[in-house]
Amino acid sequence: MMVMQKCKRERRTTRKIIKLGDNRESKEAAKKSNKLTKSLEENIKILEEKFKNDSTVIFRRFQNRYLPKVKCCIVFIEGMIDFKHINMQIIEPLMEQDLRSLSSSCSLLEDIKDKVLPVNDVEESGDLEKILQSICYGNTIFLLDGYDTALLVESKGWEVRAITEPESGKVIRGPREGFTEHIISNISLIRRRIKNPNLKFKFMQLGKQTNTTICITYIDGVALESVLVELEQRLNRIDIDGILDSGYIQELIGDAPFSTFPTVGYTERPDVVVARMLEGRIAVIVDGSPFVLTVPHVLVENIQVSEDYYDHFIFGSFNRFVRAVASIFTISIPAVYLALVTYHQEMIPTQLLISLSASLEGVPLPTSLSLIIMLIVFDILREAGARMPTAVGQTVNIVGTLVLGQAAVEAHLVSAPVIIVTAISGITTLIVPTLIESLVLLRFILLILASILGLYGYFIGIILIYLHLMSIRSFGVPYMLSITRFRNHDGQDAWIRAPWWTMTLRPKIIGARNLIRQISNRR
Amino acid sequence: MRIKVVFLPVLAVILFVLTSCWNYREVNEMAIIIGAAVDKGVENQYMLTVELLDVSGGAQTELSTRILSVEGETVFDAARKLISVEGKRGYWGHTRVLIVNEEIAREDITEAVSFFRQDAEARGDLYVIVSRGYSAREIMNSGIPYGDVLSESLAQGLENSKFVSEIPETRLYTLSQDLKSSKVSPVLPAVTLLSIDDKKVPVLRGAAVFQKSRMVGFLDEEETKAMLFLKNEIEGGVLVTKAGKTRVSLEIKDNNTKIKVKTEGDRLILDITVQTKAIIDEVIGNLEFSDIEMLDEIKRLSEEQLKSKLEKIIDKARYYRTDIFGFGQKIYEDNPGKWNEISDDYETEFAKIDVNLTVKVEIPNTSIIFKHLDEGE
Repeated sequence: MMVMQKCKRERRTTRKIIKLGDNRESKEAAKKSNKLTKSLEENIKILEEKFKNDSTVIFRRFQNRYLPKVKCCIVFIEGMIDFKHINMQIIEPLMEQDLRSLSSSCSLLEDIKDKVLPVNDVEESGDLEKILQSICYGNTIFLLDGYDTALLVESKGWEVRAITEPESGKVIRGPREGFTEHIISNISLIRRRIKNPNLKFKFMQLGKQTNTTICITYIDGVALESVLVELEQRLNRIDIDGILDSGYIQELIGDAPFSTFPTVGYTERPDVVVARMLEGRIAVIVDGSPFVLTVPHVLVENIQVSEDYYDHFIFGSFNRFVRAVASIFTISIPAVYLALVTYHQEMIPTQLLISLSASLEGVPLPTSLSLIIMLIVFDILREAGARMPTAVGQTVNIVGTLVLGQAAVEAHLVSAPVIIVTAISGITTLIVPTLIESLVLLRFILLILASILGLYGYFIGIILIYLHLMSIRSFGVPYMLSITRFRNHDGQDAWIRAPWWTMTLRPKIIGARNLIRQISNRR
Repeated sequence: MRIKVVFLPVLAVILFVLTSCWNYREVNEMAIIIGAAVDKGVENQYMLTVELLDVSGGAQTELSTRILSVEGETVFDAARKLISVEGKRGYWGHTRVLIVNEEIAREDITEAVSFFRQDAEARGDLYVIVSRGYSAREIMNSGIPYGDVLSESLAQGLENSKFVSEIPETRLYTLSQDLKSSKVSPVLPAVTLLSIDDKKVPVLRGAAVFQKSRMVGFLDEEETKAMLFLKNEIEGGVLVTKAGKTRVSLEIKDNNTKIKVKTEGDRLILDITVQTKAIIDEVIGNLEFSDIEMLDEIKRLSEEQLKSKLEKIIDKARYYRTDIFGFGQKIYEDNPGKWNEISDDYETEFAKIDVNLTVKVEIPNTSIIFKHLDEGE
């Protein structure tokens, strides 16, 4: 603990230094030239200089039909804009409309902004930094000769992946929409589910190079104020140069960074995000990532699947029980098998011992080593299967089942029970996809402990895991929330999924801001 | 907080040091001993005969057994000398039966049993059997008519003996308890060899009666059953009642034996009530039990016959001067003061105890066909 705190402090101080240095640089840059000039040509030159060696930036000069002496230019980046929109809503009115008739007291630029451009979002600015950033986001810049300000005209438009069923977290019953890489469409997916002015969206830009948009979403009056403040603080501390996926943020803001258990939740399903927000959690949407983060994240969320809530509660509870048991099985089976076979033979029924003894006959490797090797082989197959193109994936299957399974047993390289144990352990890992990372590692740790100390070592490992889980928190919320207590409403959404009419309260601590979910009408 | 920090590594170290007997051992590196037999040695003190499981084949398990005999100064000495014969170290965790030679049992059974009682691997629930008429080694070396493992079939026979109630099902832990206690004497099942189709086959037959740790005699099946009635250990079995030429088989469904301790002056009187529920399962001979009178007659006869059997076994126990029924325990529970008086010379006192026997047989129902199968009908 002491060491970890020290590390954190050091990291923080180095970050601060970088930030200070950056500020100094940007201040110096601002002194040089941060403003547009009154000359159109000069402004174009400034922008051309800034976008040197970037052929996607397009400068389009034109004149109004009725005022040919007034020169103007629009600047935009190809691929980030909607051509049709620029042609119809920006270039056409500016060329075709009679600008002479705009007899008004204020400036021509303001008149164009107010009376000519039929675009929903137009802003006037002379700040070069802002203009550059606006171009990068896909806006179009309208420059007019004789003015040292420009119009930032909304014109974003690019190819977006359609909303499809998410690859992870598939359901048989339930909504099939999944998040995409486009933040605005993701926001709309959430907004469409909570039609309520209390739903809040706060935008931020993170990543010094990538300027990635991220959005904090929560329901005002349900989400915990303290978690929101803490989340904003942690996000503000991020000073990384680029964010390509929400995984970056997950790691940067998560508690217990060295724990293999996730302390920030993620999901590809809008219904899951909304359900979590309704319980008082806060979501973080990251542009370019179909995975939306939710905080605080506790252990039990890993075995809660959206379908539990859509199915009959008894079936949902059963499925959840299967998941809980499977995740315990997956880390335990190899270790317990090893402990029984090599230390506690008296615990095996005689008949089973006889068949075990027969299958181990002539196997050269000790059981512990062959288990470790087979588990690593399984992980290799799993990793290969995940990354391979589908066509090649077939080959992996055949190699895995035929060569490694059957042939190894027949050649007496591995005993058959070891293959069975590996297979059960491997399949059960996949049942709880969000915990794969930690379960795979814990499995090996327990296996090694069991090979040194037998069942005794296995139990030491289990106790250590339990203590670890009890000690970590996510945004101040105990990680084992509602798993360890059964009183009142604590356990009703953990080990089982209680019927909806009994779940009158939101989960403790997370939903403390507004604890009452419903007033039950069935008693 | 500081105390916690100091104690954490200490506790961690203690956890690792205070483990009991354990060792990393692969299953295929050990010789699984499924049964053992102890005899007097020829050259040395004891001869240990073990039945080892001989497992081969990967996918299809082929199971066979091997019998090995080794002599040693003590049983454990012989057990360790097995390594020089077998190569692998013996594993006692799955030993099901221990056959003790009658000769050793007559001297002192503890000699043969103490290794199994004290060793870490051997189980408390293994069956201890006394060989009758043959040496334990001969019984181990005999073949069984079917099945692969002799010890396993003996153990199964004892496990299922509750449906017969003719063999006491005594495990090692009961034996050690009884040996320590002065209030009850141990009874062990006995095994002998019978010739079936010119083959000598081991068969469980009756019981061996002990006085403290010395064996004093054998009981046959009927006597064993009577003894189990008095010990209230009957769970099933057949009660055959004879009525002239006819024989009626009663299937025991339930039995409850109650013992009450009374004192009259200096004398101890035990009121023993045996209440048995049995159903008529088989009638050999011409007898129809459809009328109540006939049923009452069967009841009366079976009560009478059971009572005489019980009296006989009590007499036999008195003759051996050994309390195999646990009357002493009952006296101690009901009248500890009296027990203290007689405990010094309980063996002689036991022979003097008066016993009042009441036997009640209840026949709640019968088999479904009443009428007897007559010729020509």
